[in-house]
Amino acid sequence: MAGSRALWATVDRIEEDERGEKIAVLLFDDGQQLHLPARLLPQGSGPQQLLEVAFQVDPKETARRAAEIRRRQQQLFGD
Amino acid sequence: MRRGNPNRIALSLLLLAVVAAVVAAWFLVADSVRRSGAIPGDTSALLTVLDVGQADSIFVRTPAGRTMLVDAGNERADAEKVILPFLARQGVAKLDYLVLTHPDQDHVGGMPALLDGIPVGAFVDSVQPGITNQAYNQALQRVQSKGITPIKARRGKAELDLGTGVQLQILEPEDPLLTAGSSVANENGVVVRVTYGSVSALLAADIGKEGEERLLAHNENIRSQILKVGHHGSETSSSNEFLAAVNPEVGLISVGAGNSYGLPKTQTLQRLQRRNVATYRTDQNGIISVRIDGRAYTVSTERQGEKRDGR
Repeated sequence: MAGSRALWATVDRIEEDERGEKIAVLLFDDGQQLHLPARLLPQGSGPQQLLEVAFQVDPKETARRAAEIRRRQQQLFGD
Repeated sequence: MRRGNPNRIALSLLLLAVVAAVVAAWFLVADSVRRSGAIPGDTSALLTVLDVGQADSIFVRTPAGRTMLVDAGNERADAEKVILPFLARQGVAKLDYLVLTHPDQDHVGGMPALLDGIPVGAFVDSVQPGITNQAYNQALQRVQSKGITPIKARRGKAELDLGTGVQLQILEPEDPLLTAGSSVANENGVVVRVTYGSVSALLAADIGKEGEERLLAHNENIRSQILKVGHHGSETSSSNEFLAAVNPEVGLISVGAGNSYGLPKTQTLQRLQRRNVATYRTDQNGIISVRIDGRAYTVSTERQGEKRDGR
């Protein structure tokens, strides 16, 4: 994703959470941090590498989640 | 064999029934006191804004020992490390009502953990369409599996019983829900007004311009000495018109220290200041408690030793 909408994060370090799972700490240039399971990183990536971060809407998953919640709302509150 | 006097037997049975009723009533009251943590003889109501950072969680306990929590912070840790320990310190073993103003993460994030950590009588929800928040999904799942009573919050249609002497009004949302605004979920949030005696507190959730305008359109008395300031002190909340209608003496702002949104906004603080509203902030004051005795109120804070009396 090139151009003005590109977003990069540095893999700052890899930590372990309380259950022993490896956690990647991604650091954005404005200082915000994102912690996520290291297994979700692209293969071959590691500390001090820059990741290009891209977002895309997932209409199918959005609809599935919204429908699941709507079903629960209907079961609980009617309508 | 002697036969008893029928009148004496009837009297004895009546006496026995009265004693049984008194004992049962005593156990019910004792159970209510034990569950709510209310101190026997304490006739004050308590409203506490918990310090959950850039999020909301407000606890209410009435003189009758009824309890209500409005929102549950941003994440699991808020429930586990702040809200549940606070409730335990207060001796609260059950929440009568858990109110979710709207399903944004800074209000619903701690709810699954909270529902795992304490029994809840009823779950009060704005029931908005198109929601995908997973914490909300998990909260609904727990409400279902635990058999908690679901209550759809709608203006004038849902009744919450906070016990004798305390009135709770659900002022918003109302059908049809708003479909426009900077944040539809915020504008359709649950706004409640709690009144004990001559003292009222209005909890404005995260409503902004559209929500405030809709509320003001009813042209009703919403004057409240205590205002939980809307949307963490956002500029688009607490308009001059809204503040004029509420006419608060005290403004309570739940906000995280050094939050990246710059809340509360200077303009909002100035609007409150111009109306001589004494403002308390969780980022500066920590936990903020208001004790209401039905005629007057006292504000006390965890940090900076703040205390203010009013009536």
